[in-house]
Amino acid sequence: MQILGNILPGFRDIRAPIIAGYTWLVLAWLLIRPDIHRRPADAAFGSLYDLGHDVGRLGVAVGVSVAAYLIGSVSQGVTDALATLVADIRDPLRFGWWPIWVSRALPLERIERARERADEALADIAHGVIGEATYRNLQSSLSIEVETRTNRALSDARKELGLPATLLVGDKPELFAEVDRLRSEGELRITVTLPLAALCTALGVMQTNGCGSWDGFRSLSCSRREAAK
Amino acid sequence: MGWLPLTVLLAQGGGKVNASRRIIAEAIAQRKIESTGQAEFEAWAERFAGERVPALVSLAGAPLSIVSAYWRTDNARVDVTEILQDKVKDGKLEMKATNEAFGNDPEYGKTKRLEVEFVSHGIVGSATFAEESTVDLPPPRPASVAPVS
Repeated sequence: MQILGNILPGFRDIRAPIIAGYTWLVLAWLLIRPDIHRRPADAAFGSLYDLGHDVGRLGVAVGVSVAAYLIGSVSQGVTDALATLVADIRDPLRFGWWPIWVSRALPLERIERARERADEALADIAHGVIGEATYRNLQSSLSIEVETRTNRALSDARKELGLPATLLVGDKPELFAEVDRLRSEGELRITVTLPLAALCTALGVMQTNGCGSWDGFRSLSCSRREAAK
Repeated sequence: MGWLPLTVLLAQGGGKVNASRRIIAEAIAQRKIESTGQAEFEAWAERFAGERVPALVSLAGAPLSIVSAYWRTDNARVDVTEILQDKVKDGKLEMKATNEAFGNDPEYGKTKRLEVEFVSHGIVGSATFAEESTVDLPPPRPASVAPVS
């Protein structure tokens, strides 16, 4: 049970990229439709074909899995970059729900309390001590100072939440298990969306146009099919 | 085409990542786990409320008060706050920024600059003057002076 507990977080880490990678490979398979029963004429692909025969089915499975992991890692990076890009775009209509899948949860309570303390200090200390005009000037200057420092604290908090769960709650097993499970499940869903969208699009185009409408795809797949007949 | 299930998948994924973040956020709020950034902000807010605001309020009534002034290079600096404050006459400060004026050379052979934070009628501002330039405070339009962050 302990061994399983140690392995599980590592397995969760590779699950999202490997499934995304497999999905991209399935898409590539559908688009290229390689003839696995005939050795390719190309030197490089021919050599890979020979290697596949030498290492056997298990070796091929391992190789494909490694390739899937690498491709999926790149795909995950692209998805993360897109998510960051979208998160940086402010909600143009200020509805507060844009975009629903970009994480905005922040630990604000302590920041808000500290900010209130800073805001109240001026009123507590300066009230009745300095003239009204001077008080307003000072309040205006200091509110910019508080705003700037608060924004930095919020930015730090946002960065902190992006740290790996092992760094954040690694020493709190009861929190770690829940955080790691939810985060990896969420990341899996987000990561596979891009390859699944591509796969759905490809399948849609193929179903609509028979053997496909993309020039390269049609020339490859149709000619092979006709050659087989 | 299956776009609806994909959107649901994406929203579900975002929801789960958000839920994991909320757990961490609550743990930070309840101080179950340490947050360096938030502890630093709390310490800053304490210093701000306990030291900076009282200091500025005590200086804010005057037409021009020097909060801090450093005659410095990138590597060394000397505190010249009192020297500058002594040179304020009728709410104005006019002088040349030189080693002789401050009676000190923080780093021989290097170009110096004067960094000043001041309060003028409650407006907090900061300014930097190059060596040998004329220090003229408060600026003609104090409202345009950027407050210190």
